[in-house]
Amino acid sequence: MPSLTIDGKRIQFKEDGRTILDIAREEGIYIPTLCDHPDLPPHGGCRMCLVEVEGMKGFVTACTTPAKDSMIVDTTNDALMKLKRNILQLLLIEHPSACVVCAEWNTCNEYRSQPFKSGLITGCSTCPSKASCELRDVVEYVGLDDLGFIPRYKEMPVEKDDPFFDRDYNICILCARCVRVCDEIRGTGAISFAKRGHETRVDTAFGNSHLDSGCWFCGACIDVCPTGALSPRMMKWHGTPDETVETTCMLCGTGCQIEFDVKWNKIMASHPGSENSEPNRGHTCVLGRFCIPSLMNAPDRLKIPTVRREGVSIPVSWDEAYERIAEILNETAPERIGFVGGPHLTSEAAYLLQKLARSAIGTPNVDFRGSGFASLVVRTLADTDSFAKVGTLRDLEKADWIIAVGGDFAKTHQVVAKSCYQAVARGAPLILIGAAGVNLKRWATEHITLKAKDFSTILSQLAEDDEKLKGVKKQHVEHIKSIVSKGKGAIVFGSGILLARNPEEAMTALLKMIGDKGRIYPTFDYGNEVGAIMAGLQPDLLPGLTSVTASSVRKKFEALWGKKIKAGLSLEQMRMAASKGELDVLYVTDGSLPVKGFKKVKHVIYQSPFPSEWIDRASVILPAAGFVEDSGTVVNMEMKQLKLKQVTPPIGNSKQDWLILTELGRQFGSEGFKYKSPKKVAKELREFAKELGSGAMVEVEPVRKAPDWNPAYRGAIIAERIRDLKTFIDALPERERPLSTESMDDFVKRLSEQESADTQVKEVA
Amino acid sequence: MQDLSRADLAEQVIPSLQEIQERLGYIPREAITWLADKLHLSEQEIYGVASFYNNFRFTPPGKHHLRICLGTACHVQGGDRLLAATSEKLGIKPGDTTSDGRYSLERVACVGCCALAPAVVLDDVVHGRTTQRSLKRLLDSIDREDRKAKKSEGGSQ
Ligand code: SF4
Ligand code: SF4
Ligand code: SF4
Ligand code: FES
Ligand code: FES
Repeated sequence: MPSLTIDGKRIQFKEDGRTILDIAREEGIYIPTLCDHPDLPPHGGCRMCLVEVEGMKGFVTACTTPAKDSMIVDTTNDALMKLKRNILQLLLIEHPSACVVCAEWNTCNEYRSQPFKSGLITGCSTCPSKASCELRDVVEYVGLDDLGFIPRYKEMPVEKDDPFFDRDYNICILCARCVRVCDEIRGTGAISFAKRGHETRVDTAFGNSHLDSGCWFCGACIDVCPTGALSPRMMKWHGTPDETVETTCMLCGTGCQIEFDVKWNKIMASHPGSENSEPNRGHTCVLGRFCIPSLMNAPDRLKIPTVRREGVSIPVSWDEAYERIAEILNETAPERIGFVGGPHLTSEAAYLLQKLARSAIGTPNVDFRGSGFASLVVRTLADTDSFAKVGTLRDLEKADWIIAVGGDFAKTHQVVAKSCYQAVARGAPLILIGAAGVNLKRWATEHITLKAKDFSTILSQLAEDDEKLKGVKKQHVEHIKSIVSKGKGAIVFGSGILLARNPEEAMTALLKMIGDKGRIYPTFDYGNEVGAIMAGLQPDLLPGLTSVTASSVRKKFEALWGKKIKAGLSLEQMRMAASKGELDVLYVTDGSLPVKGFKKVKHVIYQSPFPSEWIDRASVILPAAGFVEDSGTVVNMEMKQLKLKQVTPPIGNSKQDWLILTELGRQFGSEGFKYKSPKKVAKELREFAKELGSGAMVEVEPVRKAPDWNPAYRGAIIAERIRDLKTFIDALPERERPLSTESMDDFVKRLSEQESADTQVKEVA
Repeated sequence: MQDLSRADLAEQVIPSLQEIQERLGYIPREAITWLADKLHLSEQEIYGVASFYNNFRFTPPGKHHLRICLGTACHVQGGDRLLAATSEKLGIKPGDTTSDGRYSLERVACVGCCALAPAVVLDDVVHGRTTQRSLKRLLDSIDREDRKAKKSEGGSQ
């Protein structure tokens, strides 16, 4: 095995193009770096990582030099350190240096995780700072204690006019990490270096706002910035967190791992989880990056159970609330009761909700509010036994070609889009079908502009290898076919395919087309739609995707639960029954469910973290914990089970859904509700999941509507609560435009004509 | 553009910007967006390149285009002071055009007449050994000529 020596330490390694820096990092040998970042391709711009290699002329940058057998590397000799000090001094000319050589250094270090406080104490206010500053770390390591040159303060106003984050380019050291992550990793290119020499800066075209520059506010630039130049506006004043906890985001079906800073039992800030945490590996979207703390700390969270007496909602103890629910449910015939969950319940809670309905109460009417997209996907996969065709985001980055259909993922699933772009950047052609935003259009090799209703047609034509493709010119047909005929494909698709003339046909076609080599990537809109279906929160399915009509399995459940089980009313059927006055009680756990159609229901039991239009009609309100306060599991778009880890205690007097449902089950004297933790629930559910797919699927009518992108969580419409998100979403339509196809001649002609018209106007004036 | 890879497209940025500037005299905002669309890049990627090179300008050239050389020879002969003074007189930064559209100012590197340093190029005519005074006289005479031309034009109508 090849080996090299770094600072006298012999290290064996595999020669696979990894750099000296990579090897050193793995071995825990610190080489200062500023422009390099593990997430980014090597850049070699800052020269901070210089090392001496025996036999190589001069010094080389460790971040760009591949490790070779029998290299002898020195990272710390005097000449090197002196050179690094000089380079740093040059670099610091453009960084307000009060900070790095400040006389208050020691005091500052004590308090610097609280910039506000340290500012007051040390009288310094140059940097919005972070608890850690890579630049400071490097200065400290290299041992610089004077500046050497007069610093040049650029006097640029701090840019605060865009949503979510501030930009103070006065303290930017031009390492290009932000530019590279935005461009090379996220595929957006919302920022770039502009001008040159002393005037060089990170900028947008013509200094436009980020809203206009195509920024998605994914925050990736902030996360790689080694200085305090970029900082999240609402998340920088809390100081050192008491702890940080990583859990799964439930705001869409990607299931990103997000790390939360906790202080005083509250969430102060969120960041992407570790680079090693699947599926997102250190990236998130605007929601996960910026919106969760404000959402979860909202002052109007439901905190106390209430019961309505004589028209007035009165705060009560949990026991009183359970008693009232028992009263209501006991006086109603089971078939006149409906349970409607939501796509943001954990799998355990979803399982318990249907178990409560089917076993303790004895009603078959269970369903959840979703888009119908997950239902279509999961049922088709179960029917055709093709769960193995669902890929992970890691697979997606290695795809040889991509078809994107039925959604603008760059907007709705920014992390999926990032993985798409990684494949595109490696040279995988992207075929875009249907409408989408600027990012996808730029990445696409072929854009087939079809109405959504024709999705099923074109997908079938592709699957059947037809001569013609709907809406595609002849020479392009050949090109598209040559693309999809080779290698491992990826079909990324979203709830937009529900708008196809025949969504089932579209779904079957794309499965057929992808064959055995490629993978499909369904982008679900909500946190745990798949988990809810698998847990049996469906009128026609038992836990483990078994049809209620499969008598052997059904009998097992009937014996276990002591109640007859049959197919119940779907959500739409419940709504119909309610409007005819045939449904008396509705148990709702998702405030985003529209009240419309349910006005005649006599009693509503509402269990949610957030108020919604339901609270005005609820007989009982049960305050539920938010997903960051809950534990359990969810199933993401990769069909992987991901863990929810409790980050903070449930707010106020609220409780986790699984606990509420367990206690309620006990209220009914039901034997099957003795769980002490969601783990026990998960274990029981796992037993049933072994029966996965053992029974014919029954068709229920899916809700054929692709949702607009207006992210919501259990009745809380996030943009209505977070102004910056609203500003961002409102600005999106203006960014949409078809990519210009005008030729150079036509463009020049149009512009000249426009200009001469302009000057004429000017002269007349 | 279906046959071109992303890298190939990126290579077309500079030649395309050159062509636009040649044909329109400058790089209008719309051109950045148009070119971004054509090359499947973002506006920032185009703007970054365009703003890096001094010879790309974002404002239309004035009626008279004044280039002041700051090549080594001209620089040591006082080209930088000449540029600063002219910039102040016209009230614009290099790269901009006066608000009345009469003059645009540009700094260039070596126009190939080092022996005549400092050199100034006005509407493609090189003027050597320029001083602040000689440049002022030159601009004044152009102003006068233009006024005369306008008058005769006005009179003939
Ligand atoms: S927030 Fe994301 S899209 Fe916006 S500039 Fe930063 S990396 Fe680019
Ligand atoms: S803003 Fe931060 S990441 Fe971007 S170039 Fe400046 S220092 Fe580097
Ligand atoms: S992509 Fe989805 S799961 Fe990931 S942070 Fe955003 S909303 Fe959360
Ligand atoms: S880290 Fe190697 S040159 Fe910047
Ligand atoms: S340096 Fe000005 S003409 Fe050569």
